[in-house]
Amino acid sequence: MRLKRLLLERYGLFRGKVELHFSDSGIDIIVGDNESGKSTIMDGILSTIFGTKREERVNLIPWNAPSSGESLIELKTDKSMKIQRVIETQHTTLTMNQDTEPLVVFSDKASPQGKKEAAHYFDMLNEIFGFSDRTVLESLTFLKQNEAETKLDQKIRELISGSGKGDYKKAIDSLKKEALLITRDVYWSNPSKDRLLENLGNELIELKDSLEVALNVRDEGGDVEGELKEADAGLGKLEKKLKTEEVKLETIKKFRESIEKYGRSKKDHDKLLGGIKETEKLIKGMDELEEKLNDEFVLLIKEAGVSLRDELNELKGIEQKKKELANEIEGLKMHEVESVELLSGGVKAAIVLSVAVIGIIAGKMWNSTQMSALLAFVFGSIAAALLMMLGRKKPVSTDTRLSVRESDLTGLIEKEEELIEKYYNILLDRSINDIHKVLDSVKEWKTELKLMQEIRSGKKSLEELEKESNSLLQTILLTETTLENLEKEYSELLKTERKMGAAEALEAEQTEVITELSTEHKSLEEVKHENEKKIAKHEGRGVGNIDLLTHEITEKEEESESKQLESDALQLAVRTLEESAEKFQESHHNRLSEQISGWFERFTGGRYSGVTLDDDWKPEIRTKEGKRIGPQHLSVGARDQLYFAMRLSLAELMSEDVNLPIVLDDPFVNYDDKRLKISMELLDEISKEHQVLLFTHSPEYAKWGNVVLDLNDYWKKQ
Amino acid sequence: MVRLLHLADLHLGAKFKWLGEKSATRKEDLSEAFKRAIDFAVDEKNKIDAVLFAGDTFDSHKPSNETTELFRAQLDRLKKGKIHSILIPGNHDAYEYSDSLWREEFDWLHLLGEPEVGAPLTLLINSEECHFYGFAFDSRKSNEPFDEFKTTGSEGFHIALIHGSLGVGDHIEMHSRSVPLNRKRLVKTGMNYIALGHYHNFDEINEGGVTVVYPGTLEGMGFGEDGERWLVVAELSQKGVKIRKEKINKRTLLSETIDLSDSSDATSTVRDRLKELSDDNTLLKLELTGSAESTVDVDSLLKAYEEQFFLLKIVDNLSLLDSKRIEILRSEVSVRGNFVDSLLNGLEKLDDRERSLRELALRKGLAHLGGID
Repeated sequence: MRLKRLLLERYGLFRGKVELHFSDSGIDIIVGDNESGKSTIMDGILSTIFGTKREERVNLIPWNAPSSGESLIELKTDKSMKIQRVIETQHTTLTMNQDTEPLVVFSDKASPQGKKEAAHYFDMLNEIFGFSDRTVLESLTFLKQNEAETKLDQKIRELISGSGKGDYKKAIDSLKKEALLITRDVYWSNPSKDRLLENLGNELIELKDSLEVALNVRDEGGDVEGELKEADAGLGKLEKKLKTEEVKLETIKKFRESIEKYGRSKKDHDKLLGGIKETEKLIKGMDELEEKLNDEFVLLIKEAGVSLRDELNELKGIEQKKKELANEIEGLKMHEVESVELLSGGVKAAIVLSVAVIGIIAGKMWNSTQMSALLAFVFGSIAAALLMMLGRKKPVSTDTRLSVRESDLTGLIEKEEELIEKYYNILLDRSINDIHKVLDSVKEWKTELKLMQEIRSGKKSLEELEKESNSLLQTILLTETTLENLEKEYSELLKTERKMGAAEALEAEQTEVITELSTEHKSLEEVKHENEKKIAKHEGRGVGNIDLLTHEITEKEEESESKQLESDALQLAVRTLEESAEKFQESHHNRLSEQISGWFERFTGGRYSGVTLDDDWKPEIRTKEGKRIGPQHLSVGARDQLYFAMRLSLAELMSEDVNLPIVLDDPFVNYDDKRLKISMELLDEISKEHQVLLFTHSPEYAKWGNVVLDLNDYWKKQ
Repeated sequence: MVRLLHLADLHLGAKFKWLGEKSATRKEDLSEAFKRAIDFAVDEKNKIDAVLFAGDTFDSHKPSNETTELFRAQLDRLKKGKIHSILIPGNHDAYEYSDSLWREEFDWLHLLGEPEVGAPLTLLINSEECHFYGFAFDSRKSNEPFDEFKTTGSEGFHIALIHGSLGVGDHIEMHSRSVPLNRKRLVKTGMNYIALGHYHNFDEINEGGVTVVYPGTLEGMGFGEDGERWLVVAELSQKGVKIRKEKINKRTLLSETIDLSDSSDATSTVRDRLKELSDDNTLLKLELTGSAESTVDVDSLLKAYEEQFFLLKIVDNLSLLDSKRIEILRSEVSVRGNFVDSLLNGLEKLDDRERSLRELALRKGLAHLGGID
């Protein structure tokens, strides 16, 4: 490829137009002092082809000019083309000369920051040059002052990396370091303002732990609370139930107690019953006796009845007659009779009392109050009945009879006194034998009574006797009823006994229920207590807020995720870059080595037979003598030559179809004559295959080629 | 007529960690907005009868004393104005925490703190019986689809307070941290007004005589709560429910995305937009998308414009992978060319993460190799 023409108008230093026509062969030379615009022209070449970024455009406005102008470049590869560019708008027109007809193939804005449409333009550049990046062309073909390098391996790596700025090896190292900085702390790193992935991970673990604790505490607390509530409710229910059951138990207990009481009384009753039976026997004996007595009474009464009635009738008659007399006697004897009768009443009461006491004593002997009462009653009744008969007054009739009666009365009084004495004796002696004695005495009395009755027989009122008999019978009947009642009571008692058995079972059952309930109650109370303790533990225990923790975790996870992505991306970049370098090595290493060797051999006139590049692109130079040396052992001039060789080789590699022009910006300043000579030869060699543009401040180099522009002259004309 | 000021998601005491040094100011904004809301309530001309707090009144179940005191002080103002206050806890300030602040006593506050709906709280307001139904969010009890919720059917207005997630139509939004709600069921409850909380943006549904409202936050808590924030007043009368909204927020959040694929000068495009939007009270999140034909210098843009916003965030989601200029680079005979080619290879088969990885690897690699500016 050759540049044919460059036109710059209102561009940088140039307020007006500057135009260069390049030669078809040989070295083209542009002469100019410092600040005369050599760099502007070099930039103009690149900017016209590749465009200018917005922020750089402002620098292209010439001083004192309203705006920047246009630039134009004509170049020729296999075909001729023309690139016109409006600096300010970056509107670019690419015209191709297909055969003879010019064809506009692109006309739009085209700058490095340009919109999509610009891509089409750069695509075309890519096709023409093999790249579309201004920096590539710059690094490969624009040689400036004093660039000869000792670190040639690094230089070559920079060149093959792409832009000529980044050494892929350095890039890999930097990426690795960056990755390390993200993932973990390393001793040589500065404390990063960003959090490390490792730290984030730890923070996340902590946060998640806190969240777990919060969730657990909440669940536990909740559970405990729930359990406590349940326990409380359960306890309440149980307490209620217990109360009911206890009330039941109380009832049962009372029932049982009463049954027990009955049981005790049953024993008593059993005894009583024995007593009753005994008493029955006694009563029966007595009954028999009574019956016998009654029979005798009845007989006596019947026998005495007829004569007595007659006598009574007679007595009634006589009585009427003797009434006055009798009254007189009565009046006379009043005091005595009254005292007798008084005495006699007292005796009677004493007897009844005594007999009743005997009954009581007898009863007590059977250990029964009831029996005592009964016997007291029985005996008392008998005694009373007897005494009634005993205490009956004799009717008063005639004088004779009166006197008889009086004597009788005296006898009777005596008798009564005797009896009273006997009773007192009995009352004093409480031995059981005395009862028999009493009974014997009763018999005796009966006998005596009989005698007395016989004596009185004629004078006793029949109705009264009947009355007495009935009353006795009634007493007996009453006794019988009492007995019946007792028997009834006893049978009830038997029923109760069965009830009591049931009640005992019921009570046992109930007690069991209560025991169970109490156990349950107790365990529930324990649960409650435990839970209360747990709750007390939880109270005031500041757990994290679940939502806030979750939110923070999400944030940290996102941050961690993005850091992880960055870390992974860096590792991917490292891996890919390593592979890419390897791939480049595989496909281009040999050819590049050969190419460099060729150029270097040509540049050095065969002083060196070749250059080998190792895997890191470090060159090893073979001398004519077959010695292998590193670039540091080369002379400065030889190193320049090697560097040129490398750039040329790479430029040829990257732009296989177009031999790129080589632009030199006064590289030979401070060169001695020997070095200059070598350089001269070098440029000659290059110019055989590449267009060479030499920008220089020194007109001395004019002899090297064709001066296409003398900037010093240009400015003089302006 | 009964007028209810419906507040929800106040998130008092929120720390705004993501705002860095601006967090304290934003926290203050939140308190101020709450105070302004109460100013509004106690202002006699607004005739507010009751203030409803539909959950997440506080950002945490155990806020600082300062924050709690702020709340108490506002309750006190409501007390002086004889304006009822009815509150349900939310998920952030859940009652279920054993150390939840709601376990303390609050004067002049009807706290519906039970996890289940019980008998309503009935208040006589302007000689109208108002029945308030509500329950506290409980993570173990409140997650079942919300079903049996009906009014008692008695005379007066029926108002429900729920902190939950409203699904669309039949959909039930199942979420472990809120009560799942169903729109169709809500409108069948027979309530006059359902005061919701949990979602941070205003939303209103009027259906079947039921008005359901999310009032949203008073100040945006994060991006997504963009634009104006509202004070919501529900006016309940025999004619129905009328919703009145009044702007409340001091600052405005804004999320915007710019596709720079077709921009001839991406940085300028972004710069121009920043100039248009610049506002002291704006929190802007600007996302850059599209293929990166030219890179945007995010750092220098931030430097130049962050002073003109309360907060400026620029998210560079430009895709270098899709750009033409990267495509061109892949044929370059260089390690870089190989690198780009390798990363662009098989791009269409990748998932999002893999793609992001490639994008980032490309950027990282080219930052060292040159090729992007």
